Amino acid sequence: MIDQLVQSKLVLLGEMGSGKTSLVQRFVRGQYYENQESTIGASFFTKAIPEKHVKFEIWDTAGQERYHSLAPMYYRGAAAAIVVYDVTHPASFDRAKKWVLELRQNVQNPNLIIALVGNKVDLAEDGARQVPEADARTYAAETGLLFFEASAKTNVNVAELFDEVADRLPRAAAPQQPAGGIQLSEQPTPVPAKSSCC
Amino acid sequence: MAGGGWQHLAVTAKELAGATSTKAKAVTQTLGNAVKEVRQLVLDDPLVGGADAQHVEGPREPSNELQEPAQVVDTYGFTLTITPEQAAILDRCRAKQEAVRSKWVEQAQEAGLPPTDALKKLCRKGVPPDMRRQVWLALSGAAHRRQKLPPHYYADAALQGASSQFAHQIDLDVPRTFPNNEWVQSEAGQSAVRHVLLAFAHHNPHVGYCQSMNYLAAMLLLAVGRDEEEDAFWLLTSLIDDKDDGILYRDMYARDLTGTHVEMRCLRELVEHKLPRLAAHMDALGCDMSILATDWFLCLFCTSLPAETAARVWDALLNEGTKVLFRVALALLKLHEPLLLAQDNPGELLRATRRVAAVAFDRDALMQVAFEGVGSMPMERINTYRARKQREVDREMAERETRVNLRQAVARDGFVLQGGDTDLLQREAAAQEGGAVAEGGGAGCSPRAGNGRWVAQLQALGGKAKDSLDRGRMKIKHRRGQSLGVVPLHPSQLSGSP
Repeated sequence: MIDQLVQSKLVLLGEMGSGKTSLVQRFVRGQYYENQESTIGASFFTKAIPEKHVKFEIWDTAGQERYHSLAPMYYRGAAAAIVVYDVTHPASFDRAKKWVLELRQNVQNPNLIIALVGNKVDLAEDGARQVPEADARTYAAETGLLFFEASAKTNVNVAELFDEVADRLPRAAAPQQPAGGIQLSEQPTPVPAKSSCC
Repeated sequence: MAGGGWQHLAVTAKELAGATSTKAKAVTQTLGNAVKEVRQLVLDDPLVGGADAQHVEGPREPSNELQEPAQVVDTYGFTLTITPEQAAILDRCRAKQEAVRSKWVEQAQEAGLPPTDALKKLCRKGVPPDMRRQVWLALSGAAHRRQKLPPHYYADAALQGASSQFAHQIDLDVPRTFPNNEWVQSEAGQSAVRHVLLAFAHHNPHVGYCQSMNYLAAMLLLAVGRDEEEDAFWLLTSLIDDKDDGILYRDMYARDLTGTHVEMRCLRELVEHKLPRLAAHMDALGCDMSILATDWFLCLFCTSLPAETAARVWDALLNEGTKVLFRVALALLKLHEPLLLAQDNPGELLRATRRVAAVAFDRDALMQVAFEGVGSMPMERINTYRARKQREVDREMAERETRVNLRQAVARDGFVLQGGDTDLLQREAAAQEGGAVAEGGGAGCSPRAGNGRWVAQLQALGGKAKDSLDRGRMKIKHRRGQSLGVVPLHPSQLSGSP
């Protein structure tokens, strides 16, 4: 039987230049560009992780503050959000906290998965780190977020990040369900009257 | 394969010889290098493909699999991946361009412009690349702007811009501007783009720097001359001006991009009239117009279309104004409507739209549809839309600001919302989940119904919180008066204990 993939909408948010697009490029294509084009509006990517029965539909957004008013359109209906900051840039960490707050307040989905990602950890080794890992980890734990320090450039923790998000998706835990997972309409799936077992 | 590749590389070399002989020489050298490059499948091009993009649809048929794409470098130094069929299109457009060029030369009068009665038509047919500098400066009013200010204005502004609050953002984006263009990536190119942006940020601090202006500055430099920073600067100031005398609609690039939201909603209205099936399809998918067209309007198509096609849009835009953007957007959507109707989610719709735009090499065809194929579009109608949409957007932005202020106050002062008050924010969040563009998206958001609670909250909050709330409330009042039923509170009502 063909594996059914559950489509999951995922959005990337975070300060400009924090490396959102680079993380996606690394995950989706296994590539890294030193000078990744700045994103205007948003971009869309898809990537399946067949062994986890998930197909991510990824919205990568523009980071500059003034594009903020466009963001709800992209996080609306998301199953997961990856909030990115740059470990060498403290202001980007503050901005990340604001994004988390906004997601908590505005996304109705109680199962929304939020991952906080400190990107550019490759630069931390050169002494450029400005956001201590412990601070971010504590904040993430207190706030109920997944947390990773990652590097799109040196490919650290990128696959792990998306794998972990995939593992936490509620529907990914039930891959045996043959519904195809592409039930986007409001119509309830017909359930046999005596479906409940156990 | 090699033969075909060489052949159209030669064709393109001829096309490239358009501008100046020195440029052509440099370009021929670059082409030599390009030939040595491995041919790369289009699906690897970051501009056009998604991860699982299987092929690239051209403006007509999907390319023949036997025809292998090759990489070439265009007039502006962009690396293109084109099929032989697309090479043939470029060749045809190039021949047409030569014919149009002779008309420009024949008719050129003062400031290099043809007489007024011929100007519109000729701009729509395209300004010859080697005449763009002079023509654009004259058409846009940039030359006039420069004359009104002291001769050292640009140099001073570029210098002072370095200490602007936007300098950091500009520095972040300059290296990320057109990574596939060798000159823009060079030290000279980056320095020129940076200077133009810093000068603009100083010149117009209300707008400062908005992501997308990096592409505009680079494209202007590529089109008018790589050493012509000052020209590029004045052209940018002619396009973007917050005092309603810029070519583009006001506040498109300003804080919150309100002008862009307005333009997106106008485009949405036009699509509904001109392409009703597509509008209905987008509605069914929950795909807002701004998903497809934000970058079109902010980058003026220079990141979406091939460079020479984008330059053709600018030729008409600088002469006729913003309605050209609406026309080109409608033309792109119309030309590819069947493909777009076949997409079944907003992401794929965006991806399909970007794919077809990236290979819109047939600039003559696109411009023809834009000006002859989308019907009439009087500026009066656009202005009527704009007035209405501006009110909508202003109202939503004001509501959003008030809500943000309320939340901040709640967070900062530890105020606990109770009972019915709690669900005010929740209801708004719910409305916005199903809503449109800006936070608070409009749909379902009912300030009138919520008003009683706002007042109750304001009274209940008191203390430090009331200042920020006050600011938000006053703003609403200022922008929309009493029409939404915002009750002005007496100060005594606010000073009550929490």
